[in-house]
Amino acid sequence: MRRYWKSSLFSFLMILIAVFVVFNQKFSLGGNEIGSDAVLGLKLGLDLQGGSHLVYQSDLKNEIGESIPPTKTQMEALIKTIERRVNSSGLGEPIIQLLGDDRLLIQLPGIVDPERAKNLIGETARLEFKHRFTNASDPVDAVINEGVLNSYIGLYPTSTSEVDAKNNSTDKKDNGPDPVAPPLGVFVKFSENSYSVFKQLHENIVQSLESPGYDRLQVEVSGNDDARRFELLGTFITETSEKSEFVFMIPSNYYKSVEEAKNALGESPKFELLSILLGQRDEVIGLTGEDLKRAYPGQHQTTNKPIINIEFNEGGTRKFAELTTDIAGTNDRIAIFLDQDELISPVVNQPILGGAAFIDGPTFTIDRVNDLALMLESGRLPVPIKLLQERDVDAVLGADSLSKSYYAAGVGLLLVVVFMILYYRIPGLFASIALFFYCLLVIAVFKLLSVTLTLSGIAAAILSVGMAVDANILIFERLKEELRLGRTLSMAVNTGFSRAWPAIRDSNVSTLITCLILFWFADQLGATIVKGFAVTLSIGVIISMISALMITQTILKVASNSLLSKFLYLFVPAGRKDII
Amino acid sequence: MQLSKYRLSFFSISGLVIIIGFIFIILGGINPGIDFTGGSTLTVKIPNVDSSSEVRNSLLNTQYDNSIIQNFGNNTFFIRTVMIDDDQKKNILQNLDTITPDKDVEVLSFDLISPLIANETVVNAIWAVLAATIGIFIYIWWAFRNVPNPVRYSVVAIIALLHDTLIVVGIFALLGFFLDYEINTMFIIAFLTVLGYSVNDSIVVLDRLRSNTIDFGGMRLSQMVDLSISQTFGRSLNTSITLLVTLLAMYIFGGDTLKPFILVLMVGVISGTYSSIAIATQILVIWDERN
Repeated sequence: MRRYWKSSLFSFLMILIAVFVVFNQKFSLGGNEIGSDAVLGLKLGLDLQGGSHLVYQSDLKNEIGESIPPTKTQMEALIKTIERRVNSSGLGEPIIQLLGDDRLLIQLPGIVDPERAKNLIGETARLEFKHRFTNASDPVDAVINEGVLNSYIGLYPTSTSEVDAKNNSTDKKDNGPDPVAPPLGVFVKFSENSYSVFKQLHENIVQSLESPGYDRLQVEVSGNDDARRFELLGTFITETSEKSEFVFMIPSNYYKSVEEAKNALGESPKFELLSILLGQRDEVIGLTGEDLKRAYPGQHQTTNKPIINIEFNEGGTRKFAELTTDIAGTNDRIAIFLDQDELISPVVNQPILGGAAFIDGPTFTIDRVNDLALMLESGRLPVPIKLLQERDVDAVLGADSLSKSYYAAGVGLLLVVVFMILYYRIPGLFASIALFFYCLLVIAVFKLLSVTLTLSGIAAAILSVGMAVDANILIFERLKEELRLGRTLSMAVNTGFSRAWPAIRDSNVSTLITCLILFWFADQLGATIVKGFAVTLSIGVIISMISALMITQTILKVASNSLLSKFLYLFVPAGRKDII
Repeated sequence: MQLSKYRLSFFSISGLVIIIGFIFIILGGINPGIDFTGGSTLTVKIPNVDSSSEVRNSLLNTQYDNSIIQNFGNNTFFIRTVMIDDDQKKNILQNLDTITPDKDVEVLSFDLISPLIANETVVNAIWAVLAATIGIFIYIWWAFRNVPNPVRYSVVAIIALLHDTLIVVGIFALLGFFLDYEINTMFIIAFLTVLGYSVNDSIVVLDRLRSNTIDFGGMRLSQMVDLSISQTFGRSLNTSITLLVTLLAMYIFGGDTLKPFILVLMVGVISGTYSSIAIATQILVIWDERN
């Protein structure tokens, strides 16, 4: 009696812990969050939940085009860059892993658009330098002014014409009654020819409202001794129902009524389009992160203020020189974008021809320049990469595989249990109980070690069920032999175990050797499927040994000291009496 | 049971199966998948399309008209092409869209493997098999150190393993010939599992022989082999049955992608059980009789 209470207690505690782990979806252990939202809180692999598996290799070359290996720091920087890009894109949390010296494995669970992810990861030029035009103006085509036939002042129409409908959406003010004064307008009739030119111009100005920089049209209305200049957005110019006629709004702060305006400007004032005031706009000039050699924080030599030093490569130097020559002395700026976010937009004091420059700003702090320099640097991938392997699985397919696997596992287990009980009777029943606990333990260990469950992993788990059963079968066959030699049940249990053990140990160790080698094979290639298989099978094999040794043994020992031991025939398998 | 009487039949049966396998290997039954050659595969669901010929026709006059197309059932098709980039993939999907009324071809899975990585897979797979064999050889040698000539046990276990390997590859070549099964990473896993199982099973039989050798030192080896096999026969049979039952459940209810994998395992389990009884121990006896 004394000999097995320790192992009983241990088995009991183990099962208790396993039950707790398996049936708590999520819990924290020593500060670590254990569990997930999937079935039983297991972590699912890409083939079961859908997602993308990408393997990239460094494509670094030296000056004469030979491939050279990247340094460790370069690969680390590469991982950080890709992590930042994917994280900021809202595509979910990537799992990025270094394979060997020059490869990256990127896993994107649950992603539905692998193309977008690949573009994001593989793009080398996320950093862009653009020419920002400010306060420029274009002259108005003379044809338009020459074609002004007549003009008069009237009320500006609200919500009538087609163009107006569009205006409403951009300018809500037109919707309600104007509380200040009814807006006035100058109605202008154009000649056929100038009408079509102006119509095009008007469309362009309206179009510009969709970009950050709004264009405005500067017009002058003069008559009697008054002259007024207005700057109008596209929405304040409307085509009327009359042929070739437009109405230009006079802002309401000038005149209180049509009469007042007419008194000031005369019945038919002179109307002239002066110029097109261009809004702020950014022009792509082809200067990107690829042209940047490095960016690093520093201090201004005389003022000691934090600055960012940037250096361009050969092509970048040329483009940067052109840009700065254009911009120097104007109000235009260099707008620097990273992933479509504007980082900074410095002005240029003089042309910079040498390819090295520094950026300073009144609000720069040491932290800010550090961050900015890092962002400028990470804008380009530290190492060019090429795609070696891709594996995309649709989420629906993954869910389908998962449910099929559960079904297969359930049916397989049931069949094994039926077979074991029919053939081995009472020990078979015990083995089935042990098998149930075995499954519980395996799931608990998967959860505690955060093993990622893949399709091949499930296959391995089911295979390991077979091996767990094998351990039990080995024990029962030995037990049967011992009983036939006329031993008492408790003696038979003891010797049966000790004699079956070497076979269980050796056969499982050889499986573990195979698993170890599979794991190595998979690790070399980033083959997560193979790796999942090896890890799952190893865990299964180890636990099957433990469960045979602890649980089956305990159950049998308890039984051999109970009433059941009176019915020895229940412990001997059905049939096959001819075999010793 | 006097198994040595049947020795010749055992060897002939194995020889025959292996020769048939070889014939199918020569006939081109081994289809290396993209894991070994590089390339791309697409699994697509094309609503209202039931035959591969429709799919093939839609790719006619493109550079993909010699792709391998397989029908997985349920309007699902497997298309294997050379390595394609995103634009080429889009192009293929556009072509597939033309044969379904709602143009709603759905990509269930997409795989791409560059020839570079494929070459490494071949090399690594060979290394993995070699390393596993050597590891097991050494372990058995060590585990049987208490019986005379322990190295013989290692050798026969490895011969049984080689036997199972040849059977599995041969049968897979046969399946490949008739059903276009491909050799891919999953096959390698299954193959290595068979390796593990084969040794596992040999060890159980050899372990019995080991304990009998220690218990009844004077008996002739051939008698001891017969005794050990009859003692372990029930276990071997039952373990194979339980394994085959679970595998069968997986074959029937598991996904299509797992089917070739499970077939390999089933063949491996049967061959592994057979080889430990009929091959490994018999060679051990022959070796013993020669001396």
